[in-house]
Amino acid sequence: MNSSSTLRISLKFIIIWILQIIVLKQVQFLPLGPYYYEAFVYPLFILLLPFGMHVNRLMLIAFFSGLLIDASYNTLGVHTASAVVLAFARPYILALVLPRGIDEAFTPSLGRLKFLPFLRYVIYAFLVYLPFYYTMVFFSHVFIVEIIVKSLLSFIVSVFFTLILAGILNGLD
Amino acid sequence: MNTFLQLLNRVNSRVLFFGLLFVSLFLIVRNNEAQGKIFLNSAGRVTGFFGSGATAIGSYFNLRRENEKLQHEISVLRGQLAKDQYNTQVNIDTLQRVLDSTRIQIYKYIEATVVNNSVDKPKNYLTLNRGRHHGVKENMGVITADGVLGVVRYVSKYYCIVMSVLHTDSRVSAQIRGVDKGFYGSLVWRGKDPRFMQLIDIPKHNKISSKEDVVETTGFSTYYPPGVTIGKVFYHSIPPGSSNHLIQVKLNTNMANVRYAQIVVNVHADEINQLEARAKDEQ
Repeated sequence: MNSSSTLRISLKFIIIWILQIIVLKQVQFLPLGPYYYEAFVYPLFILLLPFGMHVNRLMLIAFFSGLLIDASYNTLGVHTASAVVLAFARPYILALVLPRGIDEAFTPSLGRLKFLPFLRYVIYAFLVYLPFYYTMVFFSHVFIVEIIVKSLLSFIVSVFFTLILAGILNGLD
Repeated sequence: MNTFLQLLNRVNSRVLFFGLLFVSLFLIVRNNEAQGKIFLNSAGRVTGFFGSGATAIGSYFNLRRENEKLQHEISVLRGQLAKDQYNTQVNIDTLQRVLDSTRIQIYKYIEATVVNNSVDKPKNYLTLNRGRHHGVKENMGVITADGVLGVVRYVSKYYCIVMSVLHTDSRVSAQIRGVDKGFYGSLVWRGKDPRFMQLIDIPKHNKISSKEDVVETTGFSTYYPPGVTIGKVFYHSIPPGSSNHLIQVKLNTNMANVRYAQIVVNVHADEINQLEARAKDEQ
């Protein structure tokens, strides 16, 4: 990992953080009945880290970036735990969606993976991330219905905004 | 930085994963009110499920208090059992022991339990659960394991009233223990502090050396056997114009919560008293 890729990663994080905190955090989506939900694009940051990065480093980066998001959401630990889980799951997700023979030095991006594999990548990631995130938010099996419904609702908007953001960030590679 | 990254790659991923997850969960329950409450609630349920953990350890430290509570309950329940309601049987072996043929038992002891007590009046009495039925008579001394209690004054069939040493009329012949300290005096109570008695009538030419000197009975009466420990010299002085010591004696027995006592049966008491009465007649 040379300094230019570090710079790119930091730049990506700043852009993602701005969209997450300055824009999406303020947006209130039309609630479905009693269920309010949020859109998260921030997991994209973990998804866009280089292919060949060791999972330990991945988890450590996810941990600290999650802390930064939590600091803004005032939910210390919730995003952190979810980000660590996503980082730990990322190699397994990549193994599912990655076309054979891809160069491990690259970073995953919309342009490099093509649209459909990238969509699958994002979908799998949010299938891991959102249920765990809402489990951490509600923290009890009593709220199992809320966890499922909110995960599904959030899933739709999150994937939508994540794909748009991935398109924007595509130019950075 | 590079060595740190190399080290990082060596760490087992699963261990690191669960480590980071644990830290995150810790942050969640510490910093988020709702999750924290749920965690505390569930933690209690988990420890309850395993029946050990913090609850068990906590109750271990409460065992003492629980024990006391149980003891109290046992004694309450026991009082309701027929077999524990006033045992009228005398404990024979303490009354009939003879050591060998050349020795005659002088002092015998009847064990008794204090059923009533007072220490806060100028004239205090105790009630013991032994009476005429057990061989208790008037003017028998009463001692405890570590001191003297008083003298039997009134006897009924099953109970006796003991004039406590904490009685302004009470006088106990007492001395300082030790080979060169054979001087004796009277132990009296002035009616103030139930922890202290005053040893008087010891002439001031006798030297009270140590604060830790032990005060014991002399045996110059038919009440108490000789050498029964009473207490320790707490403080002594010679009042101005007096020719005697005034010695504060700290009692060994906590008179306020004494529970068990032995009534001293002096087998020769009658003989001694009759003899002394004859001598008195001649005077």
